[in-house]
Amino acid sequence: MPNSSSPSIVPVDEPARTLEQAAVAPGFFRLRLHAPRIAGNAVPGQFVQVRVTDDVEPFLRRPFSIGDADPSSGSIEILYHVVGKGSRRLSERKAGERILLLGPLGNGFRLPDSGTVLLVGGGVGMPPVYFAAKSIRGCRVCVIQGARCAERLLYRDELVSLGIPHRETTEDGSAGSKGLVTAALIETLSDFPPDETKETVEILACGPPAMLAAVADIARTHGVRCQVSVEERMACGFGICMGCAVQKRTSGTREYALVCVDGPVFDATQIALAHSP
Amino acid sequence: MTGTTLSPDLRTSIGALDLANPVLVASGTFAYGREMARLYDLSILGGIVSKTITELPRAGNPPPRVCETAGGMLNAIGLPNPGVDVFLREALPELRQAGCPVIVNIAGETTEGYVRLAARVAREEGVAAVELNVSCPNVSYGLDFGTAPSRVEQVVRRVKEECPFPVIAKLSPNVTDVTEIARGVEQGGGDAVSLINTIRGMAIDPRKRKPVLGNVTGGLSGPAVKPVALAMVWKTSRSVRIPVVGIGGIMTGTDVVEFLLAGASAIQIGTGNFVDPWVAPRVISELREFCIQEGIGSVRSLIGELKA
Ligand SMILES: Cc1cc2nc3c(=O)[nH]c(=O)nc-3n(C[C@H](O)[C@H](O)[C@H](O)COP(=O)(O)OP(=O)(O)OC[C@H]3O[C@@H](n4cnc5c(N)ncnc54)[C@H](O)[C@@H]3O)c2cc1C
Ligand SMILES: Cc1cc2nc3c(=O)[nH]c(=O)nc-3n(C[C@H](O)[C@H](O)[C@H](O)COP(=O)(O)O)c2cc1C
Ligand code: FES
Repeated sequence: MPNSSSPSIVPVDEPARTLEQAAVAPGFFRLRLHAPRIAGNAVPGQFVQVRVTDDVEPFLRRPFSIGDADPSSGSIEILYHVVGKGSRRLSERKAGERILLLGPLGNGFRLPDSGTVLLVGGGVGMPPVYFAAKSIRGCRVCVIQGARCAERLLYRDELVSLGIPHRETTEDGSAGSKGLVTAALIETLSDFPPDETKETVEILACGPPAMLAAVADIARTHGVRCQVSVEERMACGFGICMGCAVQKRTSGTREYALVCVDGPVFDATQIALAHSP
Repeated sequence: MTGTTLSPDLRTSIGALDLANPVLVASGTFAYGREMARLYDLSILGGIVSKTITELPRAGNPPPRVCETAGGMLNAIGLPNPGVDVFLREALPELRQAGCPVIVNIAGETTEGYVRLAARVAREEGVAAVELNVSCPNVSYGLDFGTAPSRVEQVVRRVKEECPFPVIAKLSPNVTDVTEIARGVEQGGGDAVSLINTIRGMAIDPRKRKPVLGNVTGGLSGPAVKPVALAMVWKTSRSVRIPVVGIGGIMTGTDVVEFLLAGASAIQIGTGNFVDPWVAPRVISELREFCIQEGIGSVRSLIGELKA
């Protein structure tokens, strides 16, 4: 099981001060929060359960990946798409307000320390991919990013300014190559000598379910290791409700893993990738 | 008077089971305590009701298993659990370290299934009571038991023969008259009833024209069900002599007071644990605070004291 977080880290419910809320594209917001206890322990691929309001509605917390964490300033950030009432309410929160964050939660990516890492991010799956890309040391890194259109290429400017090699694809061709991120992944993999890929290349991916399923297939065909970060509807986010089941890839009996405590990062061979949350 | 109200007496009991305070945590919303023990000292709780266990392991329902609704949530978890053998070997030893009463919740597929499970649990040290889940809306056999008073009576009577500790029957709200079922429990010799389990409900995705939950229907819980739970606790407590444990949408100390006034001897917090993992310790201190402010010496003096 990929696991770069220490099980001894106990999640905290931190009353985080909102530092900045900014629209990065229509409907997409980046929220920076002062949460030093979470920032000090967070690893890429982990998430926080956000109490978007102190009122009863929306009732449950909402899970969001940690897009960046800076232990020295004690800040973390999340980047999210407004898709319903929880994310809409969150987008209305102003700088200076306090928001309860439970975290850090889940198992992050197991970050390789040598070889080549291909980080594949689709749409709003970019936050953990960006956090991983800037955290990896000692590897050749390439981010392969896909979105519907140019303005939704999240974290693109940050990747450029950090000098992290990256390829872009858009569905409408408004930036990078036109098409799906998976096509760019296949192209990139084809550049490696076949006997080299198995040993030295590893894929880390987050994005919509169909993309993850396709990436896992590509990884299998090329004999490359692959970690995927998946989503499922959650109530608690820390293992007590059994709500966030994802089916394990088992022969015979039906078995489930829990996304919040066994994941959200899984080895792509361990789980069945198909249904959307 | 001031002496007592400064440190109000929070003790209560469910029949022969004495509790340090009336705040328990509900089955299926606290797993087997392991995750929660990392967050706070569980010994402060009135008690823990563990996630339903069955004789054989169950995988549970296909996802999505949960979804939010107005003021609450729907779940169709489907009683995933490792089965009684693994539970007794791996979860119970840790659970009894909690330092508060542990109530083991069980569900059988038949009367004999309940009896066999109860007999297994009865051989264990450190179990304060069993709670019979005769009311899960998310498994095909669950509701059959809980909806027929005669069957509930029979199950309770047979389980009671196996158990040296109190037997609590957890009742479903998805019945015509919950008091009839409660009377069945009383006639079967049950020590208490707990209610409510979740209310059958459903959510639909209008664009996909599909149910949101993998199981199509699920069970509603959270603040949205509190008025239903209060009414059922009130009616039931006036219909039976055995104690009633109130469950449904409890999130605050005053919620607890309302259930006590309606006739509950103790309460369980379920869904609240998901939204605020520290809800139970907070509710206990809010209850204490309420008693101090209102000059209440003992929470027992609130039970069934509704002016109606
Ligand atoms: C581990 C994890 C990490 C995530 N990271 C991000 C992120 O970095 N950025 C981002 O924009 N989104 C992320 N999501 C998805 C995000 O949680 C949902 O978009 C959000 O909960 C929607 O809430 P809502 O009230 O706006 O939408 P509604 O549709 O009104 O939500 C109703 C219910 O459905 C649940 N829900 C809806 N969509 C999803 C989904 N895709 N996954 C899980 N639950 C869902 C909600 O939590 C809520 O309980 C993540 C989800 C998970 C599980
Ligand atoms: C996710 C979830 C899982 C549950 N699992 C069980 C269970 O395994 N056994 C059981 O008797 N009740 C189960 N319940 C019901 C609760 O114990 C409780 O009766 C109900 O949720 C109402 O209380 P609440 O509104 O405080 O949640 C579950 C409830 C939820 C929300
Ligand atoms: S969200 Fe509750 S167990 Fe995963």
